[in-house]
Amino acid sequence: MGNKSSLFLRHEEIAQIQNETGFTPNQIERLYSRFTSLDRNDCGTLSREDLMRIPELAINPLCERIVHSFFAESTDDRVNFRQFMNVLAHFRPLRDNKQSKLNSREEKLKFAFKMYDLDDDGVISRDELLSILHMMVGANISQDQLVSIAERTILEADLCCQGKISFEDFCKALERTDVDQKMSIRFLN
Amino acid sequence: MLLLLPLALPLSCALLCSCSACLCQRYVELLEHLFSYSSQQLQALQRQQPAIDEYLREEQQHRLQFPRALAQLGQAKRGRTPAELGARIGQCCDLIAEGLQLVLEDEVTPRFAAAAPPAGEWNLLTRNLRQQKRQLSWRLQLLWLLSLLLRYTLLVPLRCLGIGGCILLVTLLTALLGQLPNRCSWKRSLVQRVLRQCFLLSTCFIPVVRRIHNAQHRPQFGICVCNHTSPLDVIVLMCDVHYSLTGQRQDGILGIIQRALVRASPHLWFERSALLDRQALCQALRLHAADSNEPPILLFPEGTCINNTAVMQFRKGGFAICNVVYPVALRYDRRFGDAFWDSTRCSMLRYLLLIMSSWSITCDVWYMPPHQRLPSESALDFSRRVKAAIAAQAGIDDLPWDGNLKRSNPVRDWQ
Repeated sequence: MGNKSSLFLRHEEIAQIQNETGFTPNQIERLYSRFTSLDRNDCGTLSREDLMRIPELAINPLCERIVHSFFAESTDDRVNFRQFMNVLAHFRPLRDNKQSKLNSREEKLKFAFKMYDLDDDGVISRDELLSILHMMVGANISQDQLVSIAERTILEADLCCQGKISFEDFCKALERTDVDQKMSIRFLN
Repeated sequence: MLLLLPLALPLSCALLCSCSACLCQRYVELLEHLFSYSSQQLQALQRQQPAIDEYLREEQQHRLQFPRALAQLGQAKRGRTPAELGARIGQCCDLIAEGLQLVLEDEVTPRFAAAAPPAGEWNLLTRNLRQQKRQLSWRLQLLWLLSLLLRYTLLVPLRCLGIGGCILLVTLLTALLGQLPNRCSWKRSLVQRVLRQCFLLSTCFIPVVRRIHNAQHRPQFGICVCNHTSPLDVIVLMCDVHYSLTGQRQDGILGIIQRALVRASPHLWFERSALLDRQALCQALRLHAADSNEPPILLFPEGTCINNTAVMQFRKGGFAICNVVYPVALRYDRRFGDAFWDSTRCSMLRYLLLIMSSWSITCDVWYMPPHQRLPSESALDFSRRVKAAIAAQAGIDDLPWDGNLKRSNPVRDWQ
């Protein structure tokens, strides 16, 4: 029974977000109402806990990384509505009406790359790959096996022979994948 | 004269209640006409704005497709094949997209907030309006203003006075009844009769309209389990059968009522944080439930209020006590006002104001035949079976999630 007046955004804000992300005003209002319902403390920004509170998300193996991706731009570990929308805009389907600068194939790939590249140095090291592998398989495969999988994968993909995976290698590995289909979600109009 | 008072009071209450039942019926019919008019007006307005119409239709379609889309994603996640980087990243992307989809929409968290009113309908309450006020036609605006004035200047003050009087009455009467010696054989039936009249009287002021189904299954003793939406559940149920209540000891208005009730009849209020009490509590419940002379115990095994669109995980404690439980299903009609109490967001006083300023709280009560625990069944399985039965009877969703996720964050203990 929250305060309904906060459900409405100002026209300028909608226009600005529309301009940045390419969402329609209807989509923006719908997402704003979701944003306010996730914001349990009614403070206008979300914390990590607010997102972790979605139980089905919390059991996703990559939950921590997904939540972390919302906070890449924030300085105080809270995300406001514009930052929230900017992250979501990466997942707009490409073929949907007009393309914005956030949902191109390259941006989608960059987003996925950053999931791996924890220290933000532009390459995926063996340990970074290992940590994602570990999250995805849980305790089902032993550490030794994981290490050998990680090393084999890097050997296979590493074109510049530096023992790490660069963004170019990453794109190369996904050459034949329909990135738009994989990295898009359905937004209601 | 003083002796006549205990007699006269229930009589006058009964009279008032029977009058009010008739009035309630008229009132509800009137409201239905009013809402159908306001909904028509709103739909006419939406036809002029096709965008909104489109949006609502798409939303309905999406609601149907949403679980299927999730199931497909789940399958994609399971079909892993260990191979080179492309495949690994592919799986990773699926998980990311799946996670982000949940940020947009999920099954569980909306159950902890007030449910959205049905699309294309409006009951003239400001809190249920899904579009900006200035977009309404002048007819609707006028209607809204009139209803606002009626509710806040007439209904709210009258109801507040009435309910204040009720609380005072209950406190006085229970103090008097508590003085009666326990050995009186007629004490129990007198207490039950008087308290039921008090609750009936209070439903005239907290505007509760009840529809009872399957009255033949009304519990007489034992353990009765029910889905939980708000503290009003207790009032709705206590009008019909006198229960022994259990629950967390509260402060404030609830505390006053709790302390009053316990003076006259056996109720179990405890401190949830004091775990030492738990064993003693189980024993007390077991003894109470086994005695067919005691009133039935009312339990809300969800442990927290859910917005009446789903039944969530039941605590198994209540199902371990006894092999037979009497399930009761409650469903509120949101058209006249939402009964759900979002205790993490709104205080008791604010909630009371929302209730008092609603049109009415309309509730369907289904008594269900007693459920027996099967010989090979664990308390957990038994609780699940009863939960599914309650959800099916009330026509609401049956979710396996724990309602206490409302307050605490999920813990990933399976790793």
